[in-house]
Amino acid sequence: MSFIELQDVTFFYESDEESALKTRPAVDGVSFCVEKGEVVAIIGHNGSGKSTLAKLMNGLLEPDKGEVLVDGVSTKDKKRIFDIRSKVGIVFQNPDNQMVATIIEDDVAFGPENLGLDSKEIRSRVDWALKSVGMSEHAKGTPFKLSGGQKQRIAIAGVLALKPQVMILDESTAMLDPLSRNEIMEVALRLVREENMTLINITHFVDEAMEADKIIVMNDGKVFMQGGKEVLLQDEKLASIGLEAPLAVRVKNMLNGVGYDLPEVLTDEELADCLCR
Amino acid sequence: MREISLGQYYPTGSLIHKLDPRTKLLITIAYIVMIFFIDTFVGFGLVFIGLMATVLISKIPVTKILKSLKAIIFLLVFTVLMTLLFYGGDKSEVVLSWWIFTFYKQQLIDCGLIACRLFFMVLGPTMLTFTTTPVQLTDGMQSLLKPLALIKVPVHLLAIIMSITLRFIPSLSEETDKIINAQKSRCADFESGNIFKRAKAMIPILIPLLTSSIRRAEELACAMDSRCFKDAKNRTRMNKLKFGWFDPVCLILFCALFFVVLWLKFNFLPFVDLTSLGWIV
Amino acid sequence: MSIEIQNLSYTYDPKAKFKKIALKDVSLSVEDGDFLAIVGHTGSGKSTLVTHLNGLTKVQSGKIIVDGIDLTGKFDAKKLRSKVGMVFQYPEYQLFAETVQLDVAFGPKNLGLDEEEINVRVKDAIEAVGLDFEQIKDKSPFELSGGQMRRVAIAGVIAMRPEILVLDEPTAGLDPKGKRDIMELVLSLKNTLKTVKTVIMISHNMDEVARYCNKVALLKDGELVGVYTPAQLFEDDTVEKCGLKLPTTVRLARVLKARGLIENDCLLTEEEIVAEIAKGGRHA
Repeated sequence: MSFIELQDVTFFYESDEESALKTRPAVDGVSFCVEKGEVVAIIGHNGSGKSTLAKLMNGLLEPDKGEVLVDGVSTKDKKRIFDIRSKVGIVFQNPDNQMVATIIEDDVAFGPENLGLDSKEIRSRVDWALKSVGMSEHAKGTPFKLSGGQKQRIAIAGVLALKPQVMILDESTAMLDPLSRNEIMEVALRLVREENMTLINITHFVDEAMEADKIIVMNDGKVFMQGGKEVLLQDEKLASIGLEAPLAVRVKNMLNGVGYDLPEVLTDEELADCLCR
Repeated sequence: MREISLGQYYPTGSLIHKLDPRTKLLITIAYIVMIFFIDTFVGFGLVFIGLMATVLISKIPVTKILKSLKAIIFLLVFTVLMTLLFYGGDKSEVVLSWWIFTFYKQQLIDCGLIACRLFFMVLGPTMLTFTTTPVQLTDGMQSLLKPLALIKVPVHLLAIIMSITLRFIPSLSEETDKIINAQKSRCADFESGNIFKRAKAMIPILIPLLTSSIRRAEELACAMDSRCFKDAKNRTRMNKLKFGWFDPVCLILFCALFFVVLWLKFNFLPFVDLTSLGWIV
Repeated sequence: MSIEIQNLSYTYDPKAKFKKIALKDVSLSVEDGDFLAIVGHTGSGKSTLVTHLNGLTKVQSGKIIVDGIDLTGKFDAKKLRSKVGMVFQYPEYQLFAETVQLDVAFGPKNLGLDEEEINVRVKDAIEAVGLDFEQIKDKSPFELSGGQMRRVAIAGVIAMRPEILVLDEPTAGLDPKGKRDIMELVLSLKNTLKTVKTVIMISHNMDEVARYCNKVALLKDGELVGVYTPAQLFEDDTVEKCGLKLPTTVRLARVLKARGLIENDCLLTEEEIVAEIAKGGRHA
């Protein structure tokens, strides 16, 4: 059985029945699965419903129709909601708006403190989490003077301290400069490798999606495309919903448009390879 | 503004810094009460010795402490002047008579005592904030106020609200700077006009600040929920407050000082009669 | 309408023990018609540099002259700010008025213009940013989509009819289409509006810099490394040494050049890459 399963999930932001009929659902009949240890990318333009999916997957929001199952438990099961949330952690977009404490290690401790663990266990989790993201030497400092990338690593540590099995990055790199973005992706992918974490990366950067095993493309609250990396080859389809295929794909298609006959390529190297042939 | 979350905390890692915040809070509160009982220079002398010892152990530079007293200099001068000009007490002994002014002995003594009281009143809490972070203070207060939870005061929740407030002050102050700059770029004028005009000129700052605070609050609530925040009560803490060996030492020393101060005031010991030692008063 | 910056230095809290140097001896000139990018790692002094241009940051040492106005001494801030329009990061967060029309009118009103002139300017500005004036003017700015809010905020600056438009990361947080739309908008403002002659833009996105700018000022730790054309800048590894990434086009071009498929690797747009490959003519 899959670790996370969405079954025909529909969600309206307007809770009022009448206005719900008029407004478009934020998520509309979405079904997909996430397996343990997988790297999944959910891409889509702003407002396509992808961030709502994140909140549905750890029970911050409840589906109006359909079912979200985490490790076999429905997110509608109020009694086990904290169980679900400690299994599925979310790192949000704005690093400044997800920190609760003025001292970094106190902030990382927030999650395990909520779980009611004893202080020794919390201490060891906090130390481990900060080490995993390479921020141990800042433990006693304040987050204000850190760069955006460093702040976001603290946010990841805060989620890690709950020892989740799935980490969702909800546009966690959108506000960062390109190098900080790389930094965060490296940390996240290392956690997948070393800690056997499942990663769900919600993003509109197509280059980040290239690291994924499975790609889900969202548009207007619906799954627009779903599959492996071949999804990224669909230049025109992606462009039609405001996204961009990788540069190599776009250049290949332009070349084919002027008389070349090149096969499908995804990366710069693959393009070079088939141009050499 | 940005530094407010750390208060004037000055880390040196001294024994005083490592004291349990509850010890420091209790002593500071009792200290303020004690100051009111002192009405002799000998009493203030004793407090001065105690405070000097604290300053020395805390390793905080004296200049730093004096600088923080700058704010009360005006108050100090004002109070002293008031006592000198409008004195209505004992006028039996004239010390100095010059032009239209006459100074009496008791007047000068009262003046000195008032100045001392003000000075020490500020210095004590200053030492507390120099050696304790606001987070520690919040934790300490939360722990001391625990009994109030019995009568349904949400002590834990208040503590969390307090610490989140401290956390967001720097972010909001940064945001305010940004918004002010953005509106100034559109030639907003915050400096001229009468008070009503100026108040109205604040709207382009206040509305964006308000909407951004709401947005931040919503996002923070989401982040807290997703990190398993249930209620403030059933949380455990990573850093439990712990008494060390120095805490009882400080408490005992302080109690001794308080005792002496009370004795100086009320002269309750049967075997030594303070009134026979005229120099003290 | 030129900008002359000479030996500009700026230190935060010059009295503090650990002073933070934001700018060190920066000299730079911007001419009419330039589309200048200011790039550099986070904390390299980009923002401090641009806030000098409309007098939000006072000159500490050095000299700045904007269109004959010397910013070193006393100057008319209103006059300067009507010439240099500043669009900050996430400008949608500065919106405040009840309606779009009132918000865009805020700047012109502060300039003390008469009502008729204000109305003309507001309508022109809203249309210039690609929104339908009649449809949007009475809406609350807070009920618009993120992209529309950003456009309204830009219109609020355009309505002051600045000759120099300064933008701090105008595409931050947008999706690929949103990014492209805003960049095309900035370009069209520069090309079609008679008023906007010069654009200065802070950016982290080297693809945008490569595609749209004609000049790039590279900052590192508060110092100006140099002023280049994009082609010069991405020729070697200077940008990477300054903690930035190369444009994706240049990265692809370098891979292709290493394989001997093309000769020139400083290609700034995908069209240039296609043309360069076609020149090799292997498959055509």
